[in-house]
Amino acid sequence: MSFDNRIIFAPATMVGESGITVIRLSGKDTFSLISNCLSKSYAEFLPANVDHYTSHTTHHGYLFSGVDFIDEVVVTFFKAPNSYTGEDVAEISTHGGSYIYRKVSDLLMKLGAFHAEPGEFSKRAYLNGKMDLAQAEAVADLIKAKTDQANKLALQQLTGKFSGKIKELREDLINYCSLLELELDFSEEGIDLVEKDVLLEKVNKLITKFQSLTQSYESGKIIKNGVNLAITGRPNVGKSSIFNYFLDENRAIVSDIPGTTRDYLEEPLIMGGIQFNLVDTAGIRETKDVIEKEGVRRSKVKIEEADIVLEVDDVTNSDITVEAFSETDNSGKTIKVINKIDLMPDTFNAALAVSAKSGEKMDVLEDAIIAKAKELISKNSQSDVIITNERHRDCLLKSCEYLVNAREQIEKGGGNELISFEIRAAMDSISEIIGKTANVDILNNIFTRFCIGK
Amino acid sequence: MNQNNKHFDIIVVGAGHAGIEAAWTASRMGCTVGMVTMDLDAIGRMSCNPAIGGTAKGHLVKEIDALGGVMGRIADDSGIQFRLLNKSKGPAIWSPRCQSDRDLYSKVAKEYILSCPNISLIQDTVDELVRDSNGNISGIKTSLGYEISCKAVIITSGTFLNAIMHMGHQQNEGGRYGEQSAKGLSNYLLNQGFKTARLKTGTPPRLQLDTIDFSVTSEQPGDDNPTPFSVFTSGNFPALPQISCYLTYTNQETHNILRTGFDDSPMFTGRITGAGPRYCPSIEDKIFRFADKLRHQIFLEPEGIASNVVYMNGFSSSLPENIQYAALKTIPGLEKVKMMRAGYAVEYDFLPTYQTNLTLETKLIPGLYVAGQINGTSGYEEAAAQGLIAGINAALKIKGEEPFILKRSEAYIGVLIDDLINKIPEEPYRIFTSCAEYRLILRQDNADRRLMKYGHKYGLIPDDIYNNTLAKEALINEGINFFKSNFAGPKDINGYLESVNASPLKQSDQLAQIVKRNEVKLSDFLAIPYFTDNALIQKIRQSEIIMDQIEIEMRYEGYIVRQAEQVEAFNKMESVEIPEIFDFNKIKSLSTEGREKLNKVRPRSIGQASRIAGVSPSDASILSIYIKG
Ligand SMILES: Cc1cc2nc3c(=O)[nH]c(=O)nc-3n(C[C@H](O)[C@H](O)[C@H](O)COP(=O)(O)OP(=O)(O)OC[C@H]3O[C@@H](n4cnc5c(N)ncnc54)[C@H](O)[C@@H]3O)c2cc1C
Ligand SMILES: Nc1nc2c(ncn2[C@@H]2O[C@H](COP(=O)(O)OP(=O)(O)O)[C@@H](O)[C@H]2O)c(=O)[nH]1
Ligand SMILES: [Mg+2]
Repeated sequence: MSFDNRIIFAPATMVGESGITVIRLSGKDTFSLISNCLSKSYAEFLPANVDHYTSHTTHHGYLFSGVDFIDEVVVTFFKAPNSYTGEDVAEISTHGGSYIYRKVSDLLMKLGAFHAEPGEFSKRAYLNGKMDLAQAEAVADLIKAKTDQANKLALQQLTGKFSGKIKELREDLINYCSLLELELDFSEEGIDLVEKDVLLEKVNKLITKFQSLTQSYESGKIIKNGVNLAITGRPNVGKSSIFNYFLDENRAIVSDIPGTTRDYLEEPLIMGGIQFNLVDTAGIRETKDVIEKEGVRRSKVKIEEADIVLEVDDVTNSDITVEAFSETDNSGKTIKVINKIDLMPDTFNAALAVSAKSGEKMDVLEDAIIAKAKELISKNSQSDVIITNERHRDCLLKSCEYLVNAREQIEKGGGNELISFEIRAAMDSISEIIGKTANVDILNNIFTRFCIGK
Repeated sequence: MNQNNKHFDIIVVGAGHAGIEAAWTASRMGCTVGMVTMDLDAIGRMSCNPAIGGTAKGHLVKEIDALGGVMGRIADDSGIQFRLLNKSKGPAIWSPRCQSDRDLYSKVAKEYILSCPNISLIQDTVDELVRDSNGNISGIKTSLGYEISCKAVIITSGTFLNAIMHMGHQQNEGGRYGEQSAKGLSNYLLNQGFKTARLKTGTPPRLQLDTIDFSVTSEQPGDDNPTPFSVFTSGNFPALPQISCYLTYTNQETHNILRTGFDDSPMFTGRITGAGPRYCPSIEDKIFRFADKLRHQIFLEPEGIASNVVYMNGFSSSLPENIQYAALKTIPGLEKVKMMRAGYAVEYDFLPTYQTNLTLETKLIPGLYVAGQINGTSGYEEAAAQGLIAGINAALKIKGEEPFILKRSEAYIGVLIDDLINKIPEEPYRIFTSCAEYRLILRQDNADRRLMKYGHKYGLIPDDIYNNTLAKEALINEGINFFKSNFAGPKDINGYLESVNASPLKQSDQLAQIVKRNEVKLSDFLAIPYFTDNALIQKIRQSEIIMDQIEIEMRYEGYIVRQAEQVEAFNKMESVEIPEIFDFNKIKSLSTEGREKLNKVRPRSIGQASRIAGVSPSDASILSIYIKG
């Protein structure tokens, strides 16, 4: 529960062998807590009168636990409500190292502060109205972001760019709804009403806008959660070897016994600045072994879910010729690879013929994978904002559905009250992302835009 | 009458549209009512437009009627033009409206009041209320020096509290042309700790009928076969001869003349501080804000059968009289017109409704109810709806019974009062269909089916009328079930389908599917020989009303189902209760504004909290996390 006055703290930087460690505190009595341990003097504990400090200023001083000197520090003060959490916040920069951190942490607890739970700072920020739900969700993403792009997306959401986009869409819906309501509530007012084709054209534009944002989730999801890259192929072609090669470790058991990998294995991996989830699957084959059978089933699911499928074969398969292989179509989500070229040096010269054992041409394969991932990401990010959150996507999808209903109504000559019903339903759906639209918003819009009143 | 030793259960202050419904319902529920008003000749006076109903307002009138109020009956008895507005749109938007004979309306209203043996009419001005040692209402004090005791007071003082009328630089005290302002009551309420604020409204000039050239205007007749507002109206309807209204337009010259008065406008110069209604702006406001509009429509509405007065709808103004007159003479048809009275604006005190419960009882003084324009609304229908709710609740309280609150999902009246309590008004509140999120089910045509059960329960609707509604309901449902469970084949009905240019059937189809088709008009369809021997259908055919209901319900069916789902979700939020004594201050994480508004309004459910203006979605979610634990 955060409906309390507890002071919480947590390291805001990684604790370890670094120059400094920043410890953040938040809560109503943060400043008096600091007063009880911050001294202006090195020689003895002379409490600093922190309450008088102006917000957003940084002060040098010495931390004391009772009479014991702990560290020379710099403290930055943020007064409520102008802080990250909306409460009084202090950030203490101590010297680096886990030993000092432990000392400071003990001191803060002694003075009545509590270790923050994961996400507690953001939760307080949300509860204090410092950010909306979408922004709070972004903080979690930001902390988890492993790649530059994921980081950018989380930032985009945090800075409100995403909320801004949703507000823009809501504004569009309100404007649209006003046109409909105008005719319903004010048809006696002698105002030029909107023609059916205009309504149709506008709703089509809205649908396109909503769809392209919804679509961007395909990119967003990949950037945020990583590209699912599944390695498939017959048993024993070297799937696990390729898997291990990319991971740079012997994660999967490699043997010459077909069916060694029974369940799939999944590991995160960053290549070319993109996050991947590399999946090694059980070779697909008919088998009587119940365990392997289940492994094959699970592998099939993984292949289904994969964004990119690496389909592996090896040079020992006599069905494959260099010519035929060179013509394989890699435009879908599949990349075909021939492994074990070390067994036939100089005979198999196709581009994606590699050796997981010797590492030969593995860089070419890596480039091909990265290129395909980039293609995937850019394909779905026509919109200037990319959504990364499944909940947001679902809300937008629902809105789209209602907009399509609205279009149907217009086409079959349905009344404005029915079209409006759909538009309002669409509004309700996106309001789950950033908050409600009230009837007064629609009326206000009408009053400012149209001359109403007899 | 010696009012000195008089005692009433309820005293109603004011005999306007709110006061009438309040007194009527309370007296019908068995209470003795003292109705104190400043002018006994102004009972139910129409301060402004001589018309009842209109978009969304017509819904209110039908609901008032279904609950046993009198507005619909008075309107039916005094109407000189009836129209169902928006007939070209969906049935949810259809709205009945009538043009009234202004004097007759007032006269009929007075007759209804006089017909109640429980109501005593008193001409006086209420200056103060009396409270007992517990702070509850125990009586009133009047200007003439009387003190009358009672158990509850309903204030329906309209625009009269500290009212000032403006016209150009002229300012006069008064709530309505020729009537006084009530000053004592407002001050009393302030002293008791109430907050008041200012609003303004305006009215257009009145013209002399026989000086207007109607030949250059376009005539707007009423409906050929009008239907009454009220379930009580039967027999000879309409009772009065019907008249037309006339449409004309302003032009650039009109606008230019009006502009010369802007410097003298009490609005533009800031002498009026109260906010006026944006949906009903003055003509100067329209010209100022929508400068590129070349003309504005003006309806010329006769004020009665025998009246020589014409109401100039669309030309409300508080500019100096000479400018109004010069400007209106540039309008086609009005070149030689005589202006009988200039337009003016009136500014008045209202009690912002966060001080009131959903029963319209004030939070500060138990037993004190407020209804009508004093609550920041505008319009006769809005006032009447509140008067009815306040009257019923005051009576229920005296009888020690549970209060009566209509939900947003049940009635426009519910929407109106919920909006009033939760949205702190920045302008006079008027009802619109877009205020009602459940408008596909809150139709004017089914007001009786929705609400009569309450009217009957409180003794405001007699058994015979209620039984008619129950029988109607049963027949509608029987009809709908029949169409859903029976099929017709090509040879049965293709003849009819072809005659209305609808695509014929290839195989047999559910009757419901056929009824839903746009080309099919139920009354014609049921007249085909195929149904001749069907007793149920023949019974249904006897009533236009029943056929209409079936048609509407079936056409809207998919939407009605979805709307019902929305209502269910809404009710879920409404049922998460906030304890009456809940301390919003202990939730530190609420936004400052949110906490302030929650403290002001003191919502009783999470649903209500989320509708309060100033309570953000995050405040609502914090509150709900907190309440649900
Ligand atoms: C100039 C003007 C223009 C308007 N224009 C419009 C418009 O354009 N559109 C629209 O929808 N509505 C308009 N209205 C509003 C509409 O007339 C009112 O909303 C409606 O009449 C309010 O009904 P009510 O019952 O609350 O009060 P009213 O009908 O105003 O009745 C108030 C009653 O209270 C009595 N009263 C007041 N104080 C006391 C007291 N202390 N003691 C005893 N009796 C008291 C009065 O005598 C009167 O009988 C206008 C009103 C005015 C005055
Ligand atoms: N010569 C050669 N052998 C390989 C290569 N890659 C894998 N192998 C061998 O092939 C066998 C099967 O490899 P594994 O990765 O387990 O195949 P999987 O069943 O597809 O996962 C093992 O004995 C590997 O050592 C390669 O590039 N060259
Ligand atoms: Mg393997």
